[in-house]
Amino acid sequence: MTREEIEAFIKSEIAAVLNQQPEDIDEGLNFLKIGVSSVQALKIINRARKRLDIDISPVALFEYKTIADFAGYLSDCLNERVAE
Amino acid sequence: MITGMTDYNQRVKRWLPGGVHYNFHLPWEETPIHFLKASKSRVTDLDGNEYLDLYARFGALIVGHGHPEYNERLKETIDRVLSVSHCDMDAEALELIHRYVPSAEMIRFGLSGTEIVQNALRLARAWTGKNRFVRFEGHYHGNADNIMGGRSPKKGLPIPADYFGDLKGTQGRARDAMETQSYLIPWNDAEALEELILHQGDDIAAVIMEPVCINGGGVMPAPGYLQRVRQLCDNHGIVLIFDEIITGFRMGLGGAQRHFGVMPDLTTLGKAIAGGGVPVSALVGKEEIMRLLVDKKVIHAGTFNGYPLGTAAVKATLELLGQHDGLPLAQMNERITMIHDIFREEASRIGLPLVIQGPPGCASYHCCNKPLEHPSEYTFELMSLDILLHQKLAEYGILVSTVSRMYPNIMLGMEDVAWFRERIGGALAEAKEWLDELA
Repeated sequence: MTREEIEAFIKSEIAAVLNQQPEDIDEGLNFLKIGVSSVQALKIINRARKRLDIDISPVALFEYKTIADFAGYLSDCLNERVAE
Repeated sequence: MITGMTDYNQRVKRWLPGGVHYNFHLPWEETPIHFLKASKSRVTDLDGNEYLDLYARFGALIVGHGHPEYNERLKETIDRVLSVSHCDMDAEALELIHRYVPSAEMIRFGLSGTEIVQNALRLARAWTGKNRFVRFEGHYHGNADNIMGGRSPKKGLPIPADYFGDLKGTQGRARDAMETQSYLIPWNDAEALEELILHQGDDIAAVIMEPVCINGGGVMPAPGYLQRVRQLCDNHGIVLIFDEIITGFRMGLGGAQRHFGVMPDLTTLGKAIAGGGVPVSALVGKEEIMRLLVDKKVIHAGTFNGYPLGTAAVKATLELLGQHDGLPLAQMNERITMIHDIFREEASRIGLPLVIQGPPGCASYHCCNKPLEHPSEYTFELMSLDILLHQKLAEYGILVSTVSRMYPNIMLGMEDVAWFRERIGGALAEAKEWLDELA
């Protein structure tokens, strides 16, 4: 998955939680501040982690708070795994 | 003018990167808690919220907030002999450490755990004439370039390297610092260590570990594991270093080494050694190795090493902890064990899986049914549950350290046990809803 695809995946997951359209989700916002609870965010991240088959800590969720930042982080992790 | 904690943190954040003093804070806190006052086991933040403090400054605070005798000793030292290189309390502090810590034949003081670990490694290299050290997954030994984070490949030599996603990884690490100096292998696996030593022992100066893997979730050593490690090090001329910066005085006055009856060659101490009010670390060990410092074959330096306030704090702390044959620590453990019991009972009543593992003075909770036997069992899912419970505990006025560690102090009282009992049910009930949602 490309970074854009990861970002799109996270946005679609968040949109589903918030009952909105993905295009209405601003990737620059802190997703814990747009109505996504910690639990919902952890579920989304866990699904992304499993889908990408990468090894990350849940603490990362709180370190990379915007959709764009988190997608970039997951993308970097994924690229490294591919390089291995 | 202070208009609340969030505003205050914004003011701090203007100058302090991230608004925090270190990067291993609790990242799920939107605003770090700024405290206004503290007493015994309670702390009060700028907004007037009171908490039971089981965070205890990453475990350093063992005497409690405002301990009258400890504070008086520090004040007396400030007034009498604040800044000299050697003072009239050195002998007493050293003799106390020697009395309690089995491997402490000689002792040097430092300020931080990170620096004292590096000094231990330097001594081990000098003593053995070898370069590399072995460390273990899930253990933490400070934030120096050569020892923090990394991951070993699944095949081949266990030479650690940085990887994306490593929360203990960092940009800016000196090139190859980790790769050329260390091996990183699973802990509690004597065969893995034996295999490595058999093939690479000629270049291994030291094996360093937390004798109880506190940073990996409070995992106890498997029966006989520490003894086997000791034996392997002896057979191959390798210095065994116990990092007892957490367990040193929280697992009894003699630390894990006394508890398990396994004597390392060198031990690093810190955090609670000076009570929690001032920074002190210590490198202690076998006289024959420590003599390299006497001969100045190995350099150990530091402007504030052995500073009077720190020495006074070590002396005061160990005298306090050792009173009545260690009664204050025994009482602390008894009360935190009451808290653990209440925690388990309430969790059971609510139907939330919970284990509490590790020594009482530095135990961790985990939202699962079976204690972790290896740091690698601390999975994404389990850590997620622990973080969610951590958040609920804080909302209910109970602060624990990252991620789920509970550090008591010797002023922990029955009123604190009652405080915990009053709040834990609500915290667990709300956490249970979250956890069910996550499951």
